[in-house]
Amino acid sequence: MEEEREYYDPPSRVLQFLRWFCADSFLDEIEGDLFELYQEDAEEYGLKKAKRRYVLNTFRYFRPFFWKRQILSNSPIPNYTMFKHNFIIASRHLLRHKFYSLIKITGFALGISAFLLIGLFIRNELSYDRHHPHYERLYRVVHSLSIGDYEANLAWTATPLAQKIREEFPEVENAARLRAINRRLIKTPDQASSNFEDGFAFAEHHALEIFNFPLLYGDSATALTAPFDMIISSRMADKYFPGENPVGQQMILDNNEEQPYQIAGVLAKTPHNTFFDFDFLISMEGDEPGKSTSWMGANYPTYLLLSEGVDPGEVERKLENSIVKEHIIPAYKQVQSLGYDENNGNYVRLQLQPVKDIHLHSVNYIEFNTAKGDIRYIWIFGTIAIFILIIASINLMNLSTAQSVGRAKEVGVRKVLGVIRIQLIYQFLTESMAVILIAFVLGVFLTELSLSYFNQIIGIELSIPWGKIWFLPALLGIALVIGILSGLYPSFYLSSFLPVKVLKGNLASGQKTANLRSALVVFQFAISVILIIGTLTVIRQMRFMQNKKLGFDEEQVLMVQNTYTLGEKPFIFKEQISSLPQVTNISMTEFIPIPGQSRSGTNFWAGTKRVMNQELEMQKWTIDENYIPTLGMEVIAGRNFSGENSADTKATIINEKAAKRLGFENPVGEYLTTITGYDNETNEFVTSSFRIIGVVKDFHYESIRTEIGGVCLFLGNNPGAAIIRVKTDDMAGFIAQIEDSWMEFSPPQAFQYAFLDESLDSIYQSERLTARLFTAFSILAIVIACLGLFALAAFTVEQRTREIGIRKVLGASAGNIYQLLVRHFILLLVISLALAIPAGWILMQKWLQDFAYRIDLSWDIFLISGGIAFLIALITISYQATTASAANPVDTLRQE
Amino acid sequence: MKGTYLGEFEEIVMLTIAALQDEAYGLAIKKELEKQTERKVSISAVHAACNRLEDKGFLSSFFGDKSRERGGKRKKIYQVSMEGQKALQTSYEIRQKLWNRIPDTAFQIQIF
Repeated sequence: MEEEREYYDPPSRVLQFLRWFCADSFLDEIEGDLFELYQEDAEEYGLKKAKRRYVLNTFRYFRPFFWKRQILSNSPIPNYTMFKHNFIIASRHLLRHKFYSLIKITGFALGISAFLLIGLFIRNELSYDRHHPHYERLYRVVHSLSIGDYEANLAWTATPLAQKIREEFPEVENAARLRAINRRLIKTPDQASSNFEDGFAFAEHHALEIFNFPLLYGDSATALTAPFDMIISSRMADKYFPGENPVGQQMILDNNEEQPYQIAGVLAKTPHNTFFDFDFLISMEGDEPGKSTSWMGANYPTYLLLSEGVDPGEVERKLENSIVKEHIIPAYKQVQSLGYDENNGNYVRLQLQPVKDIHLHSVNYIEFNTAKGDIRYIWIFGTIAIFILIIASINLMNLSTAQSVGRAKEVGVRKVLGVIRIQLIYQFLTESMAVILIAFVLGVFLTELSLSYFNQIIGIELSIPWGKIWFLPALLGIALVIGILSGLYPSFYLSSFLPVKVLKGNLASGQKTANLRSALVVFQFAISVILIIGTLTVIRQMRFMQNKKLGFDEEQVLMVQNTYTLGEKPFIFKEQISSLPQVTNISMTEFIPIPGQSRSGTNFWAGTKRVMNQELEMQKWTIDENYIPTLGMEVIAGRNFSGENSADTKATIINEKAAKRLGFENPVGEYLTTITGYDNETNEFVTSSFRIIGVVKDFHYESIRTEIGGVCLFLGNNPGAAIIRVKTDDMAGFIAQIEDSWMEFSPPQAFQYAFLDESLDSIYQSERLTARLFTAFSILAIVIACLGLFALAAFTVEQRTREIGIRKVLGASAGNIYQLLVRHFILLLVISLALAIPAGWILMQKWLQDFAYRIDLSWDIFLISGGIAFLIALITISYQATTASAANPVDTLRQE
Repeated sequence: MKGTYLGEFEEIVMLTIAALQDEAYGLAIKKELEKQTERKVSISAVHAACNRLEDKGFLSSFFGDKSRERGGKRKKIYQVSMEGQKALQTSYEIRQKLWNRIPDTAFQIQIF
């Protein structure tokens, strides 16, 4: 029966797709069934649904089972079988040449490991303070000024700035002051004695609105609004109020029982990558100096949250016009003796620094928290990481091309069998990818292993971000890119052999590539040598700084802090202590020559009168007559203060730098004038003149990186701390004695002491860290480079086995052979050195500029660096050369 | 020996092929299966199973005529081979043995 039936055409694109991927042997029945099913579906469900089902069903066939199998495919698109095939050949090849494979993999794994470690470190450094809401709009106001002779970049601004901005700047959504302060005494009301704690800060309640300070307990809308509110960190809450919610409880600050503080909240644990790490936030409402309306000075860091879409430049300009010009400069000009004069180049500038940049970009700002990073080191280490990876990749390329000679026959035969070049390229790329992938896995494994040790060295808790979804794909992506890049050159080279030449045996033993290989080796080694030079320089500079004479004797000096808390009795304490037999000398003052301790800068004038525009900003320290002998400073002219001579209260001792700045060749007997007070009625500074009775040798009181400034010492009673020079074998017993003495004074205070030399030591931690990192990475780079050299040497020797055998038969000695083999490499090394030494010199000079007091880049650094590299390389090559020269010619000349 | 194990789906496909006799091609197998087992069967699973069974030697096949209903494509008709029949029988015998081992009191519901 003939039926006129209408047939629906299935979606043609999908059908094309099916015909493309499906193997011919299945195509007929599958296409037919799908067609038939489509007709039925169209009848039953309508055309639209039928189409959908058709698409779905077709896709269901897209599995390896039904795919076309092409063993010899001319299409350049790689497919499954090809990969499988290539992979098998690649693994066979790797296993057959275990030696070279191992070196390639190990070298690269080390490189990956180093790269990852540095990468983690850099990632951590770059991530500071990004957890605040709207951190892109968060800025702090920085203050650069030049008044008279004094120039500075400060992270502090004038007291009334924040409030003014809140009132008059609609461009700024919110502003807050947050000021870290020195350690304080604190206790709970029921504790007998107070403890010293660090991590205090004054904060306006607006700070809670701007920053991400999540509260575990307490209400962030109201905390810190009352004058004696305080927020403590969760670890402090655990310490003082274990297991309870301390909100509402009280704490006593600085033994002031009359005015306790109320805990208004508990801060949740903040991530470690933040600049703001506080244990106690105290409301600024209770800070009297914080209410001052004077526009002079800079005591409070001010933070701004800009409104959406506001350009920081706009805010800066407004600050310039309405704050600097209208308030700050007039305030400075009011005080004549400061000598502010635009014509003399004086200026005041307020600028905005993004909060997220604080950690890395504020090396030059004077501020409280000195635990910061430095963006320059990020660059340096980043570059090193990339170079190490480059060295490892070069190894890979070198070894692959070196092995090419052995594979020439293989390539020739395969080409004869009809393999086209692209397939060979894929083959060799797969091989290099296999090595890279294995090396990656190994490298990540190594990183995981060494991470805890690495963390210990740098003091930061780094970890591999397995959990982040981008991590594995990113890693894989990098592996692929590197694999393809470093595999391309060898692949192209290897696949280029002409079958006729190869099978005839005429293939020149890779002469052209030998030159490239040599060039790469030179490059590798040059980088390694530069790294060694860098390391040696850094280590030397560190040692220099540690051993440099500070100008005073820092050993066996004990400092007892905060003696001012002894109420009326600090000097009685001093008397008591000085009578102890172990005490050589004791001095009382708050001014200790350690970076971060009290400083007091003010203006000085040479002579007996205050002269406009000739003020010099120098340090003014109030000390006692024991100061100089206790610290072991050297008086090079004149004399020390004498307790007996009452005229000494109008006398001063200055350091060499001060003498230079004041312009005195023979300072003793000259006069200087300085500010000694402030007259509230006339709004003027009061000055007095002092006679210089002595000159003390320059001593470092800031980091050795910075130049020593002028310091003038004055006699007075300053009970800030006690400095004790001790001579004893039983330091512990001595400290116990002092502590007993201390405890006799009431109210009992926590006894806080430190050793001068230890405190100084900790200052240089970050530099020591850098030195250690440098050393570690240099060693790594050299190891990788040597691995490459080792393999290359092995290969060269292998190439010339027959030649060596013949020479031996002809009478060459082992020594001759050795020389022959090694000569080539020596030349390469010499070229490396010739490149590396000038480069290293330039780089190190730049780095050393950073230090006011630095070592000279003496030639012996370069000699040693070159020597080390040379020696290691020589040993590496020699191993191969000696085994070769000792080989029995009978074995090597035997026909295979 | 690899390839002699008969999966559940493969088994019911083979049984259906045996039942359908001359009409045992992809789509028919699928429809019959769905009807008899009351569960959804995808056409691609049927084809994969049939071809795999053929590779194992349990099925043989021949091509039918082209037809307009199939857009001009031929049908591939499957038949159970001797090997396949033996495999089915083995499977049946094993099942029987296992069922016979169950004591009467094992099940709470009436199965047999």
